[in-house]
Amino acid sequence: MTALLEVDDLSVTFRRRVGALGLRHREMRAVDGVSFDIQPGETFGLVGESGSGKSTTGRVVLGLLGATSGEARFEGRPIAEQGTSRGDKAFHAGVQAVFQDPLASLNPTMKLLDAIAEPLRWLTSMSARERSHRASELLEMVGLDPTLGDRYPHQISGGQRQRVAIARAIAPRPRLVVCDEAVSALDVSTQAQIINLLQDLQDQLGMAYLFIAHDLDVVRHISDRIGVLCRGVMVEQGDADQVYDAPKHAYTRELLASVPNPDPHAGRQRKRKEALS
Amino acid sequence: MNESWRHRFVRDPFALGGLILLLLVLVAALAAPWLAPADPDTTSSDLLLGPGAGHLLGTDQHGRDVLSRLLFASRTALMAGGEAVGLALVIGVPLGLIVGYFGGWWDRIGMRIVDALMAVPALIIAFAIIAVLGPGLTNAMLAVGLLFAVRMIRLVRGIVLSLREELYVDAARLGGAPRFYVMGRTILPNMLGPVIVQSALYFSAALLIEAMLSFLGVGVQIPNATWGSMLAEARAEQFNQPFLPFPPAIALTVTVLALNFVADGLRDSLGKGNAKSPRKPRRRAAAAQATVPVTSTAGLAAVDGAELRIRDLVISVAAPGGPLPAVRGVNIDVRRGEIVGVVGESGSGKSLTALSIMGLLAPGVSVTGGQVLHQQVDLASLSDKQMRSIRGKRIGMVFQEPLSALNPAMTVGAQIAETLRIHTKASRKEALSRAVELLDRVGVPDPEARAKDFPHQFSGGMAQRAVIAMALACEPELLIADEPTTALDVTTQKQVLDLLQELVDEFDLGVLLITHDMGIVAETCDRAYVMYAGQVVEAGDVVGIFTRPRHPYTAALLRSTPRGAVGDRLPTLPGRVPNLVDIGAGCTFAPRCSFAQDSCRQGEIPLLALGGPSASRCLLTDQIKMEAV
Amino acid sequence: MRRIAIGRLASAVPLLVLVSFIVFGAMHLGAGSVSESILGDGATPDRVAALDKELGLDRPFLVQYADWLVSAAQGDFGSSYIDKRAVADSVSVALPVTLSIAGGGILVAVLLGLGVGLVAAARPGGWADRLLTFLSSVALAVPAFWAAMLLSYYLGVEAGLFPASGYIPLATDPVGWFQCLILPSIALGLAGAGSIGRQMRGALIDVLRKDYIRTARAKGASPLRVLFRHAFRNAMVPVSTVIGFQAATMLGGSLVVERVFAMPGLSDLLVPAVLGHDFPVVLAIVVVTAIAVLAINLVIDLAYGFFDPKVRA
Repeated sequence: MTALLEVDDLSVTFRRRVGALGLRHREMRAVDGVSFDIQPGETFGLVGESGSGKSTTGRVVLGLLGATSGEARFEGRPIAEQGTSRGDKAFHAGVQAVFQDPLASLNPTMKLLDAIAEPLRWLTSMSARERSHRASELLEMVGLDPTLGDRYPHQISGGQRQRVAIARAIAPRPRLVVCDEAVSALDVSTQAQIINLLQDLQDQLGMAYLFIAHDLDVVRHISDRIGVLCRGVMVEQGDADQVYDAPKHAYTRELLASVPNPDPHAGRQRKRKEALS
Repeated sequence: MNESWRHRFVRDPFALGGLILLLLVLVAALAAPWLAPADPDTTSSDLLLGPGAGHLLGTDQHGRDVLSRLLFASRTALMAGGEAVGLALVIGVPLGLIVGYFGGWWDRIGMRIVDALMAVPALIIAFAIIAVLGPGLTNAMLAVGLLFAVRMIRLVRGIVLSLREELYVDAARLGGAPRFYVMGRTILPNMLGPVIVQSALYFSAALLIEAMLSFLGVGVQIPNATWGSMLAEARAEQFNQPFLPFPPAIALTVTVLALNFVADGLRDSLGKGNAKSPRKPRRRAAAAQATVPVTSTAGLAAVDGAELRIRDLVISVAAPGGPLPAVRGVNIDVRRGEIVGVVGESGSGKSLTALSIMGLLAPGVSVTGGQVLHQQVDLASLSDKQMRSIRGKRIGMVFQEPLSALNPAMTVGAQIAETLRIHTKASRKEALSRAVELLDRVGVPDPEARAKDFPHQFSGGMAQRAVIAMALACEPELLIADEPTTALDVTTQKQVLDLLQELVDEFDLGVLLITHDMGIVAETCDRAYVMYAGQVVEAGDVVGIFTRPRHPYTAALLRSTPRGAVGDRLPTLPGRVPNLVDIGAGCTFAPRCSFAQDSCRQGEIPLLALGGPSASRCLLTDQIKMEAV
Repeated sequence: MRRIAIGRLASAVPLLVLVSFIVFGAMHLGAGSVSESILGDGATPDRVAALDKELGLDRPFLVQYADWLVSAAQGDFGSSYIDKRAVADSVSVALPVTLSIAGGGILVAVLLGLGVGLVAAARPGGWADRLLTFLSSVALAVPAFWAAMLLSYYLGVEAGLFPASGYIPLATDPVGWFQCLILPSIALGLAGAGSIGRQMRGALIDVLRKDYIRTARAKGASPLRVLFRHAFRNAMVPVSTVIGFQAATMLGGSLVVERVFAMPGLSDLLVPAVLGHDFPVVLAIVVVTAIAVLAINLVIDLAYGFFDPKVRA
């Protein structure tokens, strides 16, 4: 079985002009020799702290950013940076994204139904009527009332917006969806609803997720396999349970030890008791 | 698209007044031949008359009727402004879009030329263009139009560059949209607001520049009337007829003022357009206000020896239909030496409660009931001046975003020293050396050098340590920490929370820790209050809350944290936190609660004391079995 | 700081070359025959050709430009087509007049504008704020030359408080120089003060909403301390850009104001030059004012570094 996505020794270096005339450059290596792959229908979690390069990796996979060296391949074809050239329809129909801030990722001047239908216009041969019909279906699939389609993004709640962003992402029936901190901005109760929705949709449609997040509990819950990034380097990857229960790398262990544990006996109360005895 | 900006615009008296004035000028210009009492160019022997019955605004040095000339001049003014702005839009918008969206060489060459032209004062560039084209009104306006086009390119490019970074533009690209579609449908509508506002400002600037050029004699050629040429002629006769400059000058000033007011009004009303979530209809807000119960919580047992005692606190937020209570009868106690958690989702009122203790609520938000007792003194009743001797000295505060909580223009050391300088007689030098000690204490390496650094040179974790040092500089008894680690990475979060626990023991500090993270409560707090929709729904010691939650909301919150194994479905809470205006009678959690019965929806639910510090605002707390994990 | 200054100076030179090239090119290629328009009705092909040769206009365009550029770099801007005077001489006499008025205007605008902004922002929505905001809008709308006419006539001629016209060089009589600049500076500075005042108010209100202002209040800082120690400096970052822009605008505006006060500034050179196709004069004034604007920008950049430590690093 060939992998759906192969990321092969990927590096991304940002260059920033410095100095009075901007003639010199300062280089910042955001991603440094990262390799992993994703099989059809599986969820690969990418965890790391801020500045670990996880979002940069996601942007390369989406074709929004070019690799400095190495490459990412989708269904065996190298992913080129899509921004400067004409969009590659086959690629976009296969890879979609859900971002962190649903308000920022929806065009404020576009009605929700049109926003969901927009990718269908470019990536499928559907007529306008078919597109709008399909967009209504998608709204229902993500658990929203189709009558919401007439509203603008600022008129609905954060959780609803994220559902719309998901509907838009799955509209062209992608094989891979990159979820970049897709549930990080949501309250706990809303977050649980969106995670369940993502899992339900995966069961129905069989797509794979590249799930990028800083919240280790969320990543573990949703992922089959996990990669841990630290300052652009993939320090560890493996099955979710194995990474969490038997972390091999010191950084992974530190990361796991830092997560606040909702077991009060492990926290301050215990320290108190120890101090008293 | 949204009718609301139009409403906002007409509600602004200046904007509306400006618009009406502009329409009057437009009518005057269009109807000049019918309105004018005389031919604007017919001379007579009545020279330099003042305003009077025959000539409403008098006559000029050639005996021409000033009112008639003024009316005809308004035509020239509007045409001139229209030409200039039209040219600026036709050239500036497409070029700015192209330069901004395609970037690269287009951008580099285009911007160098724009920079070069912007380096010369506008009026002088206009002169240079007129030197090429020759004098005259059309050429002058061509010159002004070109000038504005250059500025418009810069404006549009700037907007495009910032919009290009927007996620929704990325999303459109991922949707396979072609470039010109992205430009036209995704970027263009989102920059219309600023471009329209700028056009109105250019229109008024064009009128002023036209007047200046005519005044200097390189604009319109005499005998044609423009407001500028009328002013130039009037100046020569100022000693003979001082009234003569007033009609054209006032016409010009009022028109420019009207345009600026319209531009301001548009900017204000369009700017807020999408950022603000729409308000619910007033009717409902008012109705809700009447029925929202504000609960008194006699049920909650007081904690002995508390340093801070919040009693029946009510905080209201100003809304179009009258103030809405966002915090409704909250009781919280904090003793020295303990960390008390306040946990809840957004909209629970936890942050408002924290800010109210310090008297730092935003304008429009105020304490409308209850007390904030700090050693028998009700902080809520103190004046701002009295409160200043409490803030920083008796109660310190730490905020969510450490980097934005520090003043970017002041060194970190000076900011810590400032707390001491405000409350003690310490000299600048003493305060600074104490600041270095404090930085050292909170674990900032190389404190002497770091004290001289600016906030942007600090990482988030280090900045939060500095903010903690600032809050503790005067050794207060209490510390309010509002989501102090939410903006930090987990490893940094752990370090900061560990530090906080050390400091509690060292300074015998009482801490009120506001957070949304149940894990943080479990790890760092002694006691906790769970807040939902402006009320405390459960209180107790941490072990009790986590091992045996006594309110279904707490239980649900604990369950929906994704700690389970792979593939498990997360138990979810249906619905979401109620909007302030949607709160009705009965238990606020009932609509989302799987145990809710009819009795839950009637009347006010009291906070039931359950022995010790424990309490729950649930009628069924003893009848239902709630599981945490 | 030093690096900012050096960087600005280094980029100023190519910018000036570009400005002069664009204007030179436009005037020589876009305006038809200069000699024809100078000669007017007396233009015969022979006389046009002779004048072209005399003015050096018969040479290829790029040669003419290179020649101009080399001389200009040495301070020689050629001589006027019309009165044959050395352009550098007449400009160096007129420039101090214009710069004096512009400088006075900038001073009035900055002092008045910052004061208005501070008072208005101290209590947004209060009566002082509303009054000052309205007056600022009016000041912005009043054409500078009308303000000049009003001041000159009513305060100068009628009331006799200040000189109503004329210019006294600084070297001749410093007190007289100062006095004759009072009314022109106010006339020129009012609109700028309106603009700076509004910007300062907006920037302050913006800054006063920032987290670090709340932090300062949480320390127990008094409202005045918050306003001056914490808000003012941060608000000056965006406002200094506006001040730079206004300064450039006022440099242009002083051409009009000096006319009203009958002061022998650049407008006396520029207006006849524009009407008479006297390109060397126009070009010299464009370049000289561009240098002045670039100098203003440099000062603003340095101020930026002072107010915003991020730029300094």
